[in-house]
Amino acid sequence: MKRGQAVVTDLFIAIAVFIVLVTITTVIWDLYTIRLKMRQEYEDMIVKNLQISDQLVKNPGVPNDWEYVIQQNPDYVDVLGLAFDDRILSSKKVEMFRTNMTNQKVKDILKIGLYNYYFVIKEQNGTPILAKGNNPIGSFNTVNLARLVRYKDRTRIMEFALWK
Amino acid sequence: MEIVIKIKKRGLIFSLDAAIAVTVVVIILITSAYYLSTASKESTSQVQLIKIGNDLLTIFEKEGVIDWVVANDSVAPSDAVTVAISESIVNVSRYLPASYNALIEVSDIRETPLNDVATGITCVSSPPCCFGTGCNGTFNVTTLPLTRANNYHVIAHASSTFTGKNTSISLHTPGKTFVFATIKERTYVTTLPHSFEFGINRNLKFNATNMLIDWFRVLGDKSYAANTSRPLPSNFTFIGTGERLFAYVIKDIFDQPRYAKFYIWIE
Repeated sequence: MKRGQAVVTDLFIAIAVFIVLVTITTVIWDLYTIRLKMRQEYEDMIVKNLQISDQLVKNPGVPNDWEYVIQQNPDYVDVLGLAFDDRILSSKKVEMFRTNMTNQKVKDILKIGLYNYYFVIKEQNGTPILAKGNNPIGSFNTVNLARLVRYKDRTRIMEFALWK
Repeated sequence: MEIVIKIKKRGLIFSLDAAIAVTVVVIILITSAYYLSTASKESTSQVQLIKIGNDLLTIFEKEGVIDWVVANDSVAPSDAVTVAISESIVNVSRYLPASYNALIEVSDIRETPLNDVATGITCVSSPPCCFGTGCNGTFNVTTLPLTRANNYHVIAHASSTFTGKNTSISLHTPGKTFVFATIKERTYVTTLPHSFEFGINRNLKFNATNMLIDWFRVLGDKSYAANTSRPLPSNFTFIGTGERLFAYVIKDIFDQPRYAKFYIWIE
């Protein structure tokens, strides 16, 4: 082999390797950017869901008697809470939340405008007792948190899902 | 001829170098992607488990389950290896969603009994010093095998044997004496913590003047805790844990703080 031929072959190999490397790096970089964005969004949904579920099962809301006034004044609620005591849900608050608040109102109070939500209380065997919001059937981007609560004198599961 | 071979070898080395670099970069990227995806999945399920476990302990507190365990704690025989909390009272299946399982541990439930059939007691002053209901005078005792060396307080349960006479309890170790103060009826605790070694501690000497001590407990060590009997999974299942401090009050008198700890997993 002549000296010129060896240099050209080496150049071709180097260019081919470089192109492969740049292509892989670009594709993976894009993939990572998308994944990072999805993960950020997912983490944001987890944090929001944790805060919301804590707020619902531990606090009575602000004002704490909102369930008696909401029928006359839907703007009366500043902070939504369903608890009578820590992890003990008030059946009156749950009922008023279910029947007297629009989905948009709930999203406004909970400050989850970008997402949909689904609230459900179930028996321990998974049988739903009551639900509110839109069921995230078919959604890939869903964060669902289950909490143990006392509701109507029995231990039940409260689930709150945020989805997009 | 010699020059051509040298050039050819140099080209090969460049290509080989590039190939190795590409391989290394690709391996690093794939590994990072794998760990990134698995780390994300784990954190969500772990948070969910721990939240459920904390909810469980809170509901136990509201329903008085842990209070019941403490109130119905009986003195275990000295040869008892483990003391289980009854599943009929702390029945986690009644509370947890299907497929979840948990083990509950309550601190300061066990004790070292002191009587004439208990093991590890040797009378120093005027034997026999131990009777069916407790020990009196000066006697050596051993602790349960402690799980870590630490400074612990000791609580003793005792009754006065002679009305109208001075009564006292003290604990002696080589070079040190620990006095007890009463915290409620028949319950005495050391005013200062004592330094304990890991495992069974043997250099402990009680002195009970006009008192009959029926049991003592090293406060806070895991060996004096008791738990429910469900076995922890031995595979690589994630086990979430957490604990809650309970202020146990009996007949409006504060007894002592106790920790309830949960171990929770998905089957």
